[in-house]
Amino acid sequence: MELPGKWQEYKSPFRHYTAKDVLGENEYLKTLNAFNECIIKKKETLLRDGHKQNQYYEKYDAIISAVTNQNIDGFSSLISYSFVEALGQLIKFPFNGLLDAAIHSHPLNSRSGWIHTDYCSAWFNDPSFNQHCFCFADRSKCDYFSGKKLKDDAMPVEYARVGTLIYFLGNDKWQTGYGGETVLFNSSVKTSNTRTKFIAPENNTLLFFECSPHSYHSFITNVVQPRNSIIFWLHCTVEDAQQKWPQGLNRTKSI
Amino acid sequence: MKAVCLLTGGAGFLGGELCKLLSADYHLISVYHQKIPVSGSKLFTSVANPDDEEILFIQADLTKKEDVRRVVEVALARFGKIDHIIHCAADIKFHGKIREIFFNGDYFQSQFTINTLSPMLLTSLVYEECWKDVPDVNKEKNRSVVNISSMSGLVSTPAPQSQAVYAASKAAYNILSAHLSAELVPYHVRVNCVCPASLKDPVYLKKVLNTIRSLLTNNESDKIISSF
Repeated sequence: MELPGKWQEYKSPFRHYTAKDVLGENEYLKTLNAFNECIIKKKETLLRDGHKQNQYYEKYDAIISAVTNQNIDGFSSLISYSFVEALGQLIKFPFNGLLDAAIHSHPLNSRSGWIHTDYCSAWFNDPSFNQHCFCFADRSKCDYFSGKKLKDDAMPVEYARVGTLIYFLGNDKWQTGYGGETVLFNSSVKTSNTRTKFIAPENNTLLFFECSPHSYHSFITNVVQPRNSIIFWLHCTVEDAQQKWPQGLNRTKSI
Repeated sequence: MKAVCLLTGGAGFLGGELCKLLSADYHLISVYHQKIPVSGSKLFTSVANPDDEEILFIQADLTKKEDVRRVVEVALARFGKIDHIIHCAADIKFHGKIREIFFNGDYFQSQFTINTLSPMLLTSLVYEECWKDVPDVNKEKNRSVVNISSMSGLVSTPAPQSQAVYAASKAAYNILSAHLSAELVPYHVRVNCVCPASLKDPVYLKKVLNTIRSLLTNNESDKIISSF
């Protein structure tokens, strides 16, 4: 499959890709509608469960709602198997169907994030592999990051994140100075010498990169308007990850 | 294309010997600073005939970041890659006794900078510009770093030699090399340290040279080699 939109590859601060005009107009609007519906529902649930407005999680302020087999239809223009397969080819990791996907909506003045790589263990519950079908991470059965069992019958299996995609939408009128960018770094600690690149959250654009021991990035506070995105991660076996980057994976053990 | 080897301290005694030993098998980039490659040697001939050169000479002060950057830029512009680094450049003087450092210790920081920090700066920039996103290529090319340290960094020698700061700089170099080795494991780049004693004996020198050459081609990693 040809990658949709206009793609560019960059080497610095680490190898990454950006694309604009990713979806056609109708596909974009369909995806945006699905996004808005999910966010409204999730926000109601979070507030009902006693979360404070605009501070939904301990270290991360975005409202997050998972994309699963139940709601994939609304996002199928973006998250199609052939597209994700093409992304896997781009970073030379054949896609195996394992996907973790979610929509993220950062309320105004969300806190800046911490510098991290995304290159870590990712636990899937007893994954099944069917040709050309996604197997989404089921976070109700086991913790995605630690593998901790959340249900007695859970069977967590460890994989590794191998690719990150962030698609921006619903950020009308965004301008430089509004914040909400994803910042890429060439080192784990930011100093005056650190190479950085700001990825603007402009509608219908995306950022894609291979997760590696040096894919350092973070979110920057949004000071004028909410910042919306759809994020998904591709995965590979731990063995494949270790073969490419020996001892480079930030591993967790199942509890 | 032959492998590309970046050698610092190329005009020093050991650096010069390595140039002679490796120039047939590698594209060599020899970095020198105050000491100029000696007249009449193979090295000088190469400078005189740049079109026919086997060794690319670059004069640089590797304690300065802008010079480190220039060395890497020139090397990549000329060869498009760097496969190996051999860090020979060092301040090998025994400057004085540690008990007198309050009065004559001005050399302390510069000796540490040359012997300990500069090699790390150079390797860091080569990693950034050439090795970071290509672990598969690094593995295929068997890329590596050889840090020339010293026996002085491993054992404490009798006081009359006054080599405390030199020895400490080499000890620090050894432990930094060990950490660097671990940090570059995910990138398939090997890092080793060679810790020779005095190189005056020709037989001993030959063993040291052969050890350095073998480290470029074998699969050793995270080794501190002091027995020859």
